[in-house]
Amino acid sequence: MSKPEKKDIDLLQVKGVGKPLKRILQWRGFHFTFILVNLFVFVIVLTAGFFGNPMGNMNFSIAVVWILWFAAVEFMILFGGRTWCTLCPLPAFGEWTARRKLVGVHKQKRWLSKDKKWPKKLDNMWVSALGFLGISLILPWLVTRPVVTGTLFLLLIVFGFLFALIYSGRFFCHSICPASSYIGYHSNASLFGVRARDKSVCEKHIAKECIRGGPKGYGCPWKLYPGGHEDNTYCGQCYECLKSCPMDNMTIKLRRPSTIVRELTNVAVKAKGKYDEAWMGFTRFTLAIFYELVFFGPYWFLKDWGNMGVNFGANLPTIGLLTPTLGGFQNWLMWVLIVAGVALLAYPAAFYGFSWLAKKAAKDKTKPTKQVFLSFSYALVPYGLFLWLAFAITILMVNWAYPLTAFSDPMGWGWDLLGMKFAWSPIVPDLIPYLQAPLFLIGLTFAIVVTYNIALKLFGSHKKAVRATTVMTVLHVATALIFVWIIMG
Amino acid sequence: MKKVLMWEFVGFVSLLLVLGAFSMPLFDDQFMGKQENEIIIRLNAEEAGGFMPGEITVKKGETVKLVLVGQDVTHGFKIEGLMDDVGTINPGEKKIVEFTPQESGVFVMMCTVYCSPNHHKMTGTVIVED
Ligand code: SF4
Ligand SMILES: [Cu+2]
Repeated sequence: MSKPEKKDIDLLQVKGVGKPLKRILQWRGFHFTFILVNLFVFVIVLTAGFFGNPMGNMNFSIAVVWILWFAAVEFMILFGGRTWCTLCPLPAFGEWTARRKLVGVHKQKRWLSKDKKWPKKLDNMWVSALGFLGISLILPWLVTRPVVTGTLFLLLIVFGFLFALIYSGRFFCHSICPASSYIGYHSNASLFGVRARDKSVCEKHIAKECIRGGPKGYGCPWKLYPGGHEDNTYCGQCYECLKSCPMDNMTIKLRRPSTIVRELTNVAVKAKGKYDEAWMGFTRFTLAIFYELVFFGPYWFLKDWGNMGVNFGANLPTIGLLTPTLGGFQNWLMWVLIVAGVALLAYPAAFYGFSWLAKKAAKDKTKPTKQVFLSFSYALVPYGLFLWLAFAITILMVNWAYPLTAFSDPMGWGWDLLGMKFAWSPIVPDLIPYLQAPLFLIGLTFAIVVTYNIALKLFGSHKKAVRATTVMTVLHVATALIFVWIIMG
Repeated sequence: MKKVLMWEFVGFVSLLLVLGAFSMPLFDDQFMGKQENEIIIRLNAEEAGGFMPGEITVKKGETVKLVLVGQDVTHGFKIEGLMDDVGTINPGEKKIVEFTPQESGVFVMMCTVYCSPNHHKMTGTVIVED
């Protein structure tokens, strides 16, 4: 009965765009060049973070990382999946050192790395997801204290380097980096996807250079089978497979919404025991509200709690200013309890309750509630992403002046390298809610559609699916209303 | 083979160039466009370092320009016995003031706006040499 599916756009075959793009992606210097550009930015982040103006908004590290980069990543996810991972300089030192090459291809046997197999227990996104939560717990510090941001990125670079010398490939990216989990998780709602043109070609092609590597490209550093890609979670979009595949079978697909829903539904239905991804969804979803509150919220006491009673910005020479008071520390523990409690316990518990109800409503006896709960949690892939897009738009429209000024005066010392000095002046602040609302609604609709498709696969009938979806919709609408209510103060 | 090595070399050199951005703070004077007779003083709350530098040396009878750069919160500036209060300096603001010391000695510069609990400690030294 099913209609023939409309094909997704094969970006590398689009007239005028495809050919040059393919040449760029297959050029070995491509990855290196883009990483280098961003490395330049992160060198400035580190320098300014440690030695620049202690005031966050005048310091490149804060202004560029927590306003521009943070917001830009959300848009990259929607339009380009893990495009940030393509550009990311953090694991680069490790990768270059291990390969003993900056640009070219080098035989794995002669790598400067122990090339150990990944520990099974860490072959998921737990560390990464909890890392994201952990970072969020010191958020009020992170986004206002340059030295904290500088230290975080220095640690990421050091760990990225060390892990590359021990484990083979992008183990750090896959399992450790605190940004990786949410970028990968939400990439499943992205318009973008690295896919095989024709899967049957891959099946018949035994050499599988995309896994093993070939003369033109490395084997997948994320240890995937690129030819078999059906989701985006762990594809780091390094485009090595585009280079290594001798059959010219790898490409970039621009996915239609129907494809996104279908592929995401498959991921959700097949998810067995993937509590890491479920909790990633819960954490990201609930943290959207806390970020909104820390950046723009009406409750000053909440920020105060998060700040541990410290009032100053700090760079390396003035790091002593960050010594918290005892009372401040106690308040911070409250903030931790609230944030972690909502993200890890309260919201998941509510979600579980509703999943149980949904199963009851569908009168299903075949599927365990656990499975229903896990599968339904993937509705948060698009829902969470659009919530964060709403946040990202706000932060850009309100604070755009800081990052632009920071490019001209990275240290916050009064330089004006590019002749760009802007005063803080939000763009049409009155209209921001009208931009946020549609994003909220798109996310919600997307979540409902995905839930219905998951329910249809789980329970097998339209009627049951509608019932279960209705129950979950109550939860999704209720959380949206709570969000709006909290933000409005 | 040669071509491969060449690309690695090009990559390596550009990598070094990029890492060179770490030296950015060393070019402070150039980036500030500092003139011969100028002295840059950055104003931080006392807790965050106060006047930077906290001591300057000038020559008697020679005109100097002080470039006062506000760093964190609003400050003020005066040098007792040498210069009256110059008014407020907001964060990010640059105020250039000129003076010609007529007698040698040690003078005290201080902030004139209540800028933090340690505001009264926000002082520095101006040495006028013969
Ligand atoms: S599938 Fe291709 S693009 Fe994705 S991580 Fe592997 S090699 Fe990189
Ligand atoms: Cu002062």
